[in-house]
Amino acid sequence: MDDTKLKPALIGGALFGVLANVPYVDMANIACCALYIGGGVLASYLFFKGKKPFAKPYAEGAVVGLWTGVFGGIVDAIVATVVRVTGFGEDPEEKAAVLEEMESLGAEMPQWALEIMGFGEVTGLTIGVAVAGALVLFTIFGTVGGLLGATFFHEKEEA
Amino acid sequence: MAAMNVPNALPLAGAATQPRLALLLACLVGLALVAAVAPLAAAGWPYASLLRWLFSGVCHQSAERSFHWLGAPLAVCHRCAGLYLGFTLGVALWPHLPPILRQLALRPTWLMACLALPLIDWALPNNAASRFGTGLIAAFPVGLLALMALPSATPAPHQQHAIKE
Repeated sequence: MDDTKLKPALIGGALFGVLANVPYVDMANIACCALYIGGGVLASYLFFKGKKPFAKPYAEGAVVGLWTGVFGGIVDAIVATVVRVTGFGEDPEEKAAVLEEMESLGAEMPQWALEIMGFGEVTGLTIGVAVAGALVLFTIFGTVGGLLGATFFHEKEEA
Repeated sequence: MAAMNVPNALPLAGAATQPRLALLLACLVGLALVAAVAPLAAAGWPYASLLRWLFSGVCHQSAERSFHWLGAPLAVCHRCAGLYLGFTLGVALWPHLPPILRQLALRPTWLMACLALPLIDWALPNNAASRFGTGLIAAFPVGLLALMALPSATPAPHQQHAIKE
């Protein structure tokens, strides 16, 4: 990845990786993954701003969005782990409701599965799953954001 | 006035490539995971909740706003199900659309107007069909963008302006 893509990807990934863990702001993600996609769109905007037309703008946008997702996923996982360890911003009532819903399904899950889902101690496994999950989600939707950004922000050639 | 040309040299005309098939396969795996949660939960599989939790970061998963299968909700809501299916259909169908429709690939910004539909639907009284339908229509052209990002499917610059106004 060249430097022209690195900076926008870092900015988009870091900003939206943090926002994805801010109480109430994180709810934007349930609206079509707006935060994950938003990181890619922002990075794409920063990348295309003031640049000449590209031969393959969508491929460029996708790469910028993909790397935004990688950085965003890492930042998101780090912040989420810190939040979980400190308990800052957690809603016990919400957790109890989720547990109740799971119990209503009638299936009993093993302890390690509950820990992954945030019910229990923070272990290496839970951190690993948090990193992997955040990377997958951010990368997929960040790439979509990069594609959307390319559509709107890449400089069109004059006919 | 629109003067359309190069009908046989459209972008995506040769998009039946390995990257496209790999992308399509990934989309189908994602859809299968979304759908599989319901029968697995109905069958009492202990990890169905874990599988459902994987999608909790990207969807509210409200049961009353989700399709049900065998009495259990899918992993995502109506609108998200529409978005995922629409994207998959976009990847699968764009290269096979009639040439006149594929000309839209030369002006993807127009297609992005579809993204406003879920917002409009969200702001108005809606139901399961409207949520699913607007999600489907919104994501369909995004599949086109993904195809245009693939190595062999990107339109050449001279093709991007085949339609002159």
